[in-house]
Amino acid sequence: MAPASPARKDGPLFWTVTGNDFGRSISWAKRQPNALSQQIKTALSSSPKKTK
Amino acid sequence: MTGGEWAALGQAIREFRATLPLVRLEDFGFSAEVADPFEANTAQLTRIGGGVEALAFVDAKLSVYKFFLFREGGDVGATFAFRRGESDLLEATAVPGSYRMLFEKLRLIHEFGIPTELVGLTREGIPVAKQVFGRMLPEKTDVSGLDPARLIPIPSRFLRADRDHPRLAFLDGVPWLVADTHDRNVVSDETGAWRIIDLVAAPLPREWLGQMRLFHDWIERARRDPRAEVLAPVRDDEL
Repeated sequence: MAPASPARKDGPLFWTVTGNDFGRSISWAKRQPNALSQQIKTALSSSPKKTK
Repeated sequence: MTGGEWAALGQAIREFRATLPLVRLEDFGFSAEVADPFEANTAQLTRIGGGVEALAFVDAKLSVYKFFLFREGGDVGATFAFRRGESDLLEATAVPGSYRMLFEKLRLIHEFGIPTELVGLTREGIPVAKQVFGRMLPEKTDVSGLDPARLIPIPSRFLRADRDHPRLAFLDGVPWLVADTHDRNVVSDETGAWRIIDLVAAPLPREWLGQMRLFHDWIERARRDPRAEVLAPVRDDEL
């Protein structure tokens, strides 16, 4: 049986997940930059400007 | 980017979203804005269990919904890492997996076990899968004889895994290690047939198999005949 809600650092590789684990992950995800958005912005800024 | 490239990107995104729709936790009655989104049952879903990868709920139509945890860092689900052990033995250790591997695992379950579909991905990144409900087997049911024609037990001289019942399965012709198919991960469907609802899997690494001739030979013989012995038969006149 996997342990429930261990401390993440130095804890087991697998544990029985809880709703609070999801809350932490969602909170982490919201702090991450949008990698695809960044790539598109970079591509846009480096592409030659079109003139009419 | 040119106009054509933008159009191609847009089309690719639309096709990807058709395969993997975006869904909301709110669609299931949950909220992504609270510390524990799954604290209470909702009008649609009732909690029936959970494991090391996901929480499971059932609806009134007896469909099971699984919400998979993505970890901080982006890992999700479980797969195997391989290393070569002593005496030509391949060692498989369960490790946190990726979205791609989770989707492949769900395909494997659908192919070899209970009907399974990927409902979608929440905007936060939670994969949601749907399965047909099955009855749990009595505790400690011996499931070692499960579907030996398609889930071929791997001889212990070739592979050691830290999960129960390591088996060989072919998905699109590619040999996979499929394991963890113990009695809690197998249910009985409406016909009484046993069906896998969860497993841990990974494609067997080609680079290792290329160096492990006996294992590779056995896999190719098992592909043609699931009852293949560890060693290929030898003609008497070759002895």
